[in-house]
Amino acid sequence: MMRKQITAAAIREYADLTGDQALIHLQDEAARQAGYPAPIAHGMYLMGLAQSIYLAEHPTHWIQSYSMKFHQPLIRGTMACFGYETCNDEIQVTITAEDEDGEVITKGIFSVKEGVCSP
Amino acid sequence: MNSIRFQVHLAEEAIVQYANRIEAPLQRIGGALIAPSTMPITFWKIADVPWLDIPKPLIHGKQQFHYEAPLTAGMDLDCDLSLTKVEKKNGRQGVLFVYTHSLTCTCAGKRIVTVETVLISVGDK
Repeated sequence: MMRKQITAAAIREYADLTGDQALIHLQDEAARQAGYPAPIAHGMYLMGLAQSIYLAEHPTHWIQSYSMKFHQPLIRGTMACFGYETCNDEIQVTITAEDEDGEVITKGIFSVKEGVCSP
Repeated sequence: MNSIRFQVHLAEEAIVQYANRIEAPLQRIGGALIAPSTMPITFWKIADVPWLDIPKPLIHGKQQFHYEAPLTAGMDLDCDLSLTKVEKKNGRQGVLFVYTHSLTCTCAGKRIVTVETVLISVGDK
């Protein structure tokens, strides 16, 4: 299990790089109007982090397929917990919020191949 | 119009910047830098897509990538993005619209990656 706090700065930096400047990620009022207590992390930021954490531990793997379903938004400032489980040659990843509810934020699955190298 | 076509030159610098942002390790195959698996999501923006010019915010519902070969630095990609389905659903916050997209990226006629992106409109009360 890997833990990472999803900060406002990280969300802003992801928005700047990718161009996804939707206000629900960046502004308190826009998030409230959409029904959230505070801005939410980009789902694709979490999906990217999930693959990165795995590859850091498995640097010769290449991800051939990867799917994820987003169940709940992750509110800015929340500690996200990344859990991995290997099942039938696939890796299942679950991101949960480390708060009083401990809700599942996303669940995903990916398959990998060997054969790449990390510099 | 429910499809658009565009080209992407995948520069090594762009891969490095994206990888750094999502904290991905840099990986190479045959000497070429590999793009992180989720990078194709950066190839298009909601603002570029005429059918997503709607007043409600959009969030991700599902996302899928399937690779035929690694996406590597230096590739010139021909990309086709299409809206494959629109569904109206009743959610906890009211009526939701679910937009399913398919993106295919080919290089010199060879398919490299197929991407499915499901976006959900939120904010209807």
